[in-house]
Amino acid sequence: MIDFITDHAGMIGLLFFFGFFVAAAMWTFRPGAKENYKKHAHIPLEEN
Amino acid sequence: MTATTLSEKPNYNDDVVKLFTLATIFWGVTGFLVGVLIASQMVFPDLNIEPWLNFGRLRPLHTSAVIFAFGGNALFATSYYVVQRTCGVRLWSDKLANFTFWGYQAVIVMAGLGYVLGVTQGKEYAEPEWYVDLWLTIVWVAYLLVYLGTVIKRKEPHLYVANWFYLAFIITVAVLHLGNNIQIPVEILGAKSYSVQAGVQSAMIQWWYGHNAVGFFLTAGFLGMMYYFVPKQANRPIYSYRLSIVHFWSLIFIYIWAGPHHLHYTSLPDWAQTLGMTFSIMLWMPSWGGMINGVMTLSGAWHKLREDPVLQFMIVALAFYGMSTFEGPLMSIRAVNSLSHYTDWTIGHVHSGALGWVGFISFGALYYLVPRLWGRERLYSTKLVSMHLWIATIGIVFYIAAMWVSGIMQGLMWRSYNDMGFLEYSFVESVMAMKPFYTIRVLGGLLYLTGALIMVYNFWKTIRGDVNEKEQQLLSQGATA
Repeated sequence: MIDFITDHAGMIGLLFFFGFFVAAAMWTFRPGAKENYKKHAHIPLEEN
Repeated sequence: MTATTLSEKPNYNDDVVKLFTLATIFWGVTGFLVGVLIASQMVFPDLNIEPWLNFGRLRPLHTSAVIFAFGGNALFATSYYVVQRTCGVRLWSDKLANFTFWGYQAVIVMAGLGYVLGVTQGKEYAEPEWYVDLWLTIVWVAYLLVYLGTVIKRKEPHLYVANWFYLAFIITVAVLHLGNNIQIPVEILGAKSYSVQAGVQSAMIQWWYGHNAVGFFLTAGFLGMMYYFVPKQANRPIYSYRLSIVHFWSLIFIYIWAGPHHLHYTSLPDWAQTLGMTFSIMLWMPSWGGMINGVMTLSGAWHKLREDPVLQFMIVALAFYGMSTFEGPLMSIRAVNSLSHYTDWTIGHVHSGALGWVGFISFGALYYLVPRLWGRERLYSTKLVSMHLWIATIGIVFYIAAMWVSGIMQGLMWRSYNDMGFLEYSFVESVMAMKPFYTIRVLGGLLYLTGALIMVYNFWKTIRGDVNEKEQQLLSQGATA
């Protein structure tokens, strides 16, 4: 197991980071998120 | 520790923000002044006073003063201001926050003294020796604790995106600092140390650090500033919150790989050079996404830009951000780099980012902060803000245009061969050809410094509580008309 990870560290790293990024980007486009984001955008304007 | 009984507004810790604000102004002027001095040394070599005040020692004093002293204090001030407001709570631990202020000023003074006395690691943007590195590590951990402590006790369930950028800046700078400063002191009571890594590995780690100092100190941190102060000054929500999140993840995932573009045509393996270049080009997307997000916040309210010079500062900053992040990827392309590297073009590029983006977004934030922190209704003079804006903008244009011309000319002179296959120009001929452009650069720097001094005067009057009768009259006339 550990040999497999060290032998393929580059590819595993690439897939992990790329996968994480794609997932994070897609997560922002989930259905129903738009209303939430509109609310979040107003956070700085609500405080004193 | 906190008192929020009488009103909804929490009792924010603005004392520490005030300290950092004043330090930002002080170190800003100091850093610009040293910049003008070293630019003048290039035109008038007699200004090099050996050994303490020669170019070689003052140059890191200038870069550290503007990046870490001016920029760093601006980031501390705004991040502490923003995290309290967007989390709806007082800063965690007054004592630790105060420690970060005095501790960070100590870092600046120790580093600066070292440069003048010739104590240096010889690594660009990481010149301070091991004792300063250790002290900075302690201060930085305290900074992270204050920030995280505040975020953890927040009342607002969602953590506003500006804080994501500030946190990415704090955490990544910690990692970079530790990674690039693994040094072994030569003796216990001496300042000198040597890097654990050697040769090309050392160079690669240095530029992984160096470029991400640009990416996370001068970009991510200041984007945090942008995501709070542009919406506040425009009184409109950010154009697209969704874009701000995609901007965040893409910026931090891509930036960290761009460092090898500083080592084109060196003994660094080709694949690593190509990787750095490819990721640098990919950075076009998040950079422009972020710029568009900031500028388009004014969509539907463009008239505000006509009337408000503080907002103008922020939007011009974003325009320079867009311009320098367009230029950077271009220069990272190996063939382009063969012309631009080691020339003044690089210096011009850095300054369009530093003077235009970092400087202007900070000035915008300072103009927003000062009247609010000191409880004044408005700035002493809006007209002076406008004057600062235009004088400084013209200064930047002088600076970068001179460096474009001189840099490209330098690059072309160095690579010219005659019919016999010999170099067309000697090195000293290329130096002589630079002189007029170095003079223009001094002029540009002087204008930028003048603008900053106008700002200082305006702040002095604002903090004292002086009222500008003429502008006050115009304002009340406008209100009744």
